[in-house]
Amino acid sequence: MESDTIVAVVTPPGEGGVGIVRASGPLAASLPADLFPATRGTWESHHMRHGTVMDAGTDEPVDDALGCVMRAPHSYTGEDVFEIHGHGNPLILDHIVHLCLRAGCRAARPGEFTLRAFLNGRLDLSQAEAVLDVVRARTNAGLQLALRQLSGWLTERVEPVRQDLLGTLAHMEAMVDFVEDDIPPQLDSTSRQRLDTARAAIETLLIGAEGGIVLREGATLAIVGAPNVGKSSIMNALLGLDRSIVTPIAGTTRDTVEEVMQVRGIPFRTIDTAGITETNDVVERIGVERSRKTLEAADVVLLVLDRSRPLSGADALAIEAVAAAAKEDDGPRVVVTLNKCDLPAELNGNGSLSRLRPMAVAESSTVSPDGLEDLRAALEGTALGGTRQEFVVGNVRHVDALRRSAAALHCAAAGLQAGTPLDLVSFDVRAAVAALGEITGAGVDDELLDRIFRDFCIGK
Amino acid sequence: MDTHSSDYDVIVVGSGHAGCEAALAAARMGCRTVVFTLNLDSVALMPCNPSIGGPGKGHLVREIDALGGEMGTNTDATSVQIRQLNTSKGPAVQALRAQCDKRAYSLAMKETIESQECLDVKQAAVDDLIVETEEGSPSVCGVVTSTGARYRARTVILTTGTFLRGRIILGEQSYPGGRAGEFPADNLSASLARAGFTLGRLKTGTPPRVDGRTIDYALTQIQPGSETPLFFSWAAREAFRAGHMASPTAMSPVAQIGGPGRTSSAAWRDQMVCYGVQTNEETHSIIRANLDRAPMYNGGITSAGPRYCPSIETKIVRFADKSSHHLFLEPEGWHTREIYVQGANTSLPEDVQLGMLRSIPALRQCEIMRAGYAIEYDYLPGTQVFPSLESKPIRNLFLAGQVIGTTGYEEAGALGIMAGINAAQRALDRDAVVLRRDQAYIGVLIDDLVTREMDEPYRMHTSQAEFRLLLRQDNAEERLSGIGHDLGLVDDGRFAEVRRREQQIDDILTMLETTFLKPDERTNAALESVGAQRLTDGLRAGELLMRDGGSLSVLEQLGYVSADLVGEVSREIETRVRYAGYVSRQEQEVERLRRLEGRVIPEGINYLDIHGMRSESRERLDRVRPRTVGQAARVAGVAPSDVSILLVHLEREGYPARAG
Repeated sequence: MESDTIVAVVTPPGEGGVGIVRASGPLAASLPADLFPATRGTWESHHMRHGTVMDAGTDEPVDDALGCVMRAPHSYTGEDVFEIHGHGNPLILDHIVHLCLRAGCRAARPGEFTLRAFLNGRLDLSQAEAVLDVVRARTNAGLQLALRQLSGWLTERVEPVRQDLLGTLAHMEAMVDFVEDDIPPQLDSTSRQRLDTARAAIETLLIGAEGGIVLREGATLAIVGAPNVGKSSIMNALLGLDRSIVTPIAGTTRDTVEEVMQVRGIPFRTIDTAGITETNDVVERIGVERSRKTLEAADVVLLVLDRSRPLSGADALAIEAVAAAAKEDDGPRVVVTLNKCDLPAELNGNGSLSRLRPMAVAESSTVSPDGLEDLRAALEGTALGGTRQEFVVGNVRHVDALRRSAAALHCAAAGLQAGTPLDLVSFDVRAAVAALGEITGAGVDDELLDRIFRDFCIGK
Repeated sequence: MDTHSSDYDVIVVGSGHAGCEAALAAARMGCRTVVFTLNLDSVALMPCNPSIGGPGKGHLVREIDALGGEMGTNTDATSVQIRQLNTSKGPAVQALRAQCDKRAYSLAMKETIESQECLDVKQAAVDDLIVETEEGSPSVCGVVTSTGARYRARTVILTTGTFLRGRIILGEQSYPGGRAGEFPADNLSASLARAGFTLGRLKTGTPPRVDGRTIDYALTQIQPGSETPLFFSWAAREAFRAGHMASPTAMSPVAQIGGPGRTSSAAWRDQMVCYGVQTNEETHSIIRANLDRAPMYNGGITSAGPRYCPSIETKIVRFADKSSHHLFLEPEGWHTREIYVQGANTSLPEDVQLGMLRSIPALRQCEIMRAGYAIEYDYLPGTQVFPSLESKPIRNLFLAGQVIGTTGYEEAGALGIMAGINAAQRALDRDAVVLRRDQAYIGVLIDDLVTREMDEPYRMHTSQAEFRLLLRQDNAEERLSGIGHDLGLVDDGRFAEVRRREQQIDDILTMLETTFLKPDERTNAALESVGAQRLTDGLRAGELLMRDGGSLSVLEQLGYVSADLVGEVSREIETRVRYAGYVSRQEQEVERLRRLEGRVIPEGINYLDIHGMRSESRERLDRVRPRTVGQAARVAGVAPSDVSILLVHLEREGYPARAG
């Protein structure tokens, strides 16, 4: 039995009536509890059950779906399998896959279910033929072209990072394998720096990846600012211009109605409506600590400042609350808008802004006709983590590989810090390089020695 | 000429490092064996550096030893120096390296093969193979020597090293030779080509030896041997533990391991020192000025040499910005003044060799005793053998050593013992023994050789072993002595001792798993006494070892284990506990691999017929002809989707996977 559990959408892409997500492996049988928390009772093998798929992170319903556990060996792959039959909306199906990944699954590679089925002797000839067609189609040049164009963008960005890591790894390996040659020692601090640089680059790509998800699923937005800086008019202006597509989302347990506004095609869901127009009062009332927690739940925080008057104590308090939330690991990304830019500038104290490290600063005006264009661009860019063309990282397999690579680099850097021996550190670096190679289609072993001989003068 | 009818089970051609291990393994497994050598005075010769070990290579020697081979013992019995490399880089990559007495090494091995029961040793040049058709496929059944004598056998092992159409190149001169001063084997090369083998050509080289009396040692850096006892072999380690002789001395360059009790108590053994020097700009300009006389650069040599063993001229050309290169001066034995100049491997003319050496201050007055040279030779690319090392074109013919594209004594020895084992298994009508990549460096070596198409000699590095955390030099016994024992190469007493030690380790690991430490005063006092941090919460004894300063000695002090129980295995235990997380990740990978390895590809498969697979992949698979789906997946350029298609093809053609 394989040790990891793989997951993927197994129905063809496109908006069919029903879409199926399949997970196979040791975790499969425990997925119902994670995904269908409200569906009580036992999940008997080969029995369809109806329920609501919940996102435990947001505690929100994702889809009304059927689930079915198939116990090994009586399943497609011969392993424990869990299938979710949901609505054939690609966004929903992706969301379900993400929930499975969060529960510990790994994104399946093309043909991997089939591979497992074969290894377990589960496929008969007719099935094999059918699957072969699909696999063959994947290798078919025409069909691959579109995919390649998309992944070409990513490869272009991943490859330099991978090459740099390969260089770091080659140096580590050269130090191990060519003890008696003139390998200049690579200081731990240098290695760590190189690993951290690579990880930062990968994490930037991951923000882009989340951008891909954001584009489809929307982002949560909190608007913060002192009284009278223009929060309400900004929100109304953003809403007003797109009034036709504002939809109240019902079904939350709160009394308030969440507003959804489209900014350049991205759905922004405002959070904590009750507090929004009075956020600064909220900060004063409940304190920085609690408001930080509230703000942390947002994907994006928009801090509104009035450019036409000096920084006030209330502004400072708002800045402090935002800064506290933003410095958390999973904290929101910050956009600052300097409002009322149609009036003479009086704002000072930009120094205190710098510690917010906002993703974007935009001037805005709700009275001039194009006064919100900068702000719209800033919100869009911040929510997506880059420019729009970067969304192809939304491919779950790529995201999964990037995440694993970043995690391995984190381990490696931590290992170096703690004085872990080189053989273990290089193990993690190798894993990081291998994960990136899954995106670019390159193995580690073929290139590693080439790299060692290219970079170092080896020879007795 | 008379036929020596069906005299032998196994014929070994060649008595180098591969040939000796092959012949010993086959004979020790009870097969009637003969080894042919071109020159009885060159048994187990070290024509290059008389050094054994290093990362990857040292691992191979430990594995050969664990399988009951000879290389480790022979090294321990004849070394002049031994050191542990990579001491601070983690136990998985630590490796022994020994400098040997070149003559003593050869003599000791010669005596070993001459003393081996069931093994005949003969000086003769083998010119041809006797090949007959058996069950429709060509099968070797003997050899013909240059005098026309015919010897028949069930299996033949070729370990011909650099002798196939060997050509020695020294500056402007070039002449046929298997090694300096020895004749090549030209006829055999031709007969192998006739038999259907593809031959390739490789190059390797060796540096000059200088006269030790002409070196100014005051201008060198001294490299001493280890101050703590180190051994490659089980035999020497056990002998030392029991207080017997385990290492050679200048007085007896071939140690009688396990002989009389040791006398010296101050140092653990006698050792020679090695020396370091550096090249300088003058050296480099002498080489640059003479590049037109360098065969590597004037077209005299065209074949591929190993990148990890470049000539000094190549280093100067390729790394032009480096102002200096390290060279090591290494003695070739207790009773010779010849000093090997490691790092100066070259085929430049002799006068240039001398000029470049004399540009180094410590070598201003040096005299060359033997000039360096390059050698080109025919080899049979490794994709022409199965993982058992049996050749694909001819049944019952096994190949090992440089002849299938490796370099290095250790690699040769590793292939030799496996070829010996598998030729014997065939002669005894038993299944071949194939080691896995997660089981031994030997498994990695052979799998790479038979799977990857290479254009340079293959040298073992630790970075080639993706499961290297599992393949420590320290756990070779545990990994392989069971196999050696099953084959009759490891005796009962030794195997029982290995198992006893394993049990001891298991017991202690269980204790670590099940013992909980309370953060009480007694525990904390013990921790503080070794400078470790105090406990604030309780924890498992095993977790203590993961912490800074946590060691078995603390647990000893607290009375959880007894000192004499832990003693010899404490390092192993601490390594295992600290590596546990990483090891289990590697084991998951191994598990994945094993599934694919279990899927055997039928021999007759026609890869070119596989519908839907990219033609490039079909051709690669056809050339390599992998035996399992796992091996197919490792062929360079074969993608996961190709593997899926291959699996479907197997299914359709009626080779179903085993259920379950």
